[in-house]
Amino acid sequence: MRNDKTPAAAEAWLRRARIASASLSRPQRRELLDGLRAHIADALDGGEDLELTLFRLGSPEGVAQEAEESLGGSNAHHRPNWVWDTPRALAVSAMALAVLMLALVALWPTGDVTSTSEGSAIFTTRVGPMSFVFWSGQFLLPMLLCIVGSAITVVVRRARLKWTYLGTAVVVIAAVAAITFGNILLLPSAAAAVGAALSLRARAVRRAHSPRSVA
Amino acid sequence: MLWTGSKRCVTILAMQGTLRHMVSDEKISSSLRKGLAEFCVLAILRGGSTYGLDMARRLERDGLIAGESTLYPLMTRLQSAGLVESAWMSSPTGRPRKYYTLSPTGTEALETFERIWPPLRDAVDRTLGEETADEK
Repeated sequence: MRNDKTPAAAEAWLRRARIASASLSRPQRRELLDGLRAHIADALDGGEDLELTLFRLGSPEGVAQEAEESLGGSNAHHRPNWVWDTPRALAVSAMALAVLMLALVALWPTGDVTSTSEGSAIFTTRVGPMSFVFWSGQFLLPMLLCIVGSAITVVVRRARLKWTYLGTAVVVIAAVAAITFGNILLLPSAAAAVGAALSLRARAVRRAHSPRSVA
Repeated sequence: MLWTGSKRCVTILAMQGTLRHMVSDEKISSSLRKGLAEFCVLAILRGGSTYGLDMARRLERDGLIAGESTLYPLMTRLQSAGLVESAWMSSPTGRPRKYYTLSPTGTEALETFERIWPPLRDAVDRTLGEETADEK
C-alpha cells in the first residue's frame, strides 16, 4: 500500500530496497516493502525524525540481502524460475553470438572456382557442417576458443568472479586472434563477455559496500 | 534420549562448520537468534494483533533481532509459511496501519515450540553446567 504522504527521502529508500530485492518473488517483495513502508509511516506518525528512522532501518541493500538470505532457503519454491540478471544475460549473449557466428559461417555457401581443360569455369559449392573440413585452423580455432571462453562465463555462478574473468579473457584473446587473421565476427561476443565481466564486478563492489546485516 | 538428541545436534552443527566459525559474541548470538526470533514473534502476536514498528522495537530492545529491518524478512517468511496473517486497519490517528495476527497454524507452531523448548534449554544448561564442573 502506497502512502502519498511518505516523504521523498523515504520513497527513495524504498525504491532502492525494491531494486535490491529483485531476486525475491513478487508476493514476497510486495510483503517486504509493505512492511517497511508501514514501519516508516508509523515511526513518522509517532513524531520520529525521518533521518533517524531510516538510519535505524539501515541500508536498503542490507535489508534486501537479509531478506534474500532469510527467504531463499525455506521458500525456494516461491522464487520465480527466472530472474533478470544482467551479467548472466550478457554472458549467455556472448556464447549465443559465438555459436551463431559459427553456425552462419558453417552454413554460408562457399565455393571454389576451377577451370576445365576447355577453359570454362566451374563453381563448386560447399554448404553445411562438412565445410569445416575445408576451413583453416586460423579461422576455426578462435571461434571454438570463443565458445569455450563464453561457456565458462555462463556455467560458473555469479560468486565465482575469477572464473568469469578467465572466460572473458579467453573470449577476448580469441577475438583478437580472429581479427589478426582478418575475421571480425567474434567482436560482438567479445563485447558481450567484457560487458558481463564489468557488470558482475560492479555488482560485487556494490555488495561489498552494503552491510550484510543491519545491526 | 534428549541428551542423545542434543549431542547429535551439536555434532551436526560441528560437521556443517557452524561451530568452527563461531568466534565472536555477535556471531554466536546472531546464529542462535535466527531460529528463536520467529517463535518470539508468534509469542508477541498471541497477546493480540500488533503492528511492525511496535514489534520491531520490542524485539530489538530485548536483543532478539539484530536490527529493526530484520523483522520484515522474518514476517514475510512467517506469512509465506501461513503462521501469521496481516491486514490493513485504521490506526488511532485514522491512517491505515498494517496489523499482524497469529494464524491457527501459528498458534499450533507456538504450542509445539513451547513443548520442545524447556527440555531443550534445560539440556543445554545441564550440559554447560557439566562442562564447567569438569573444568573445575
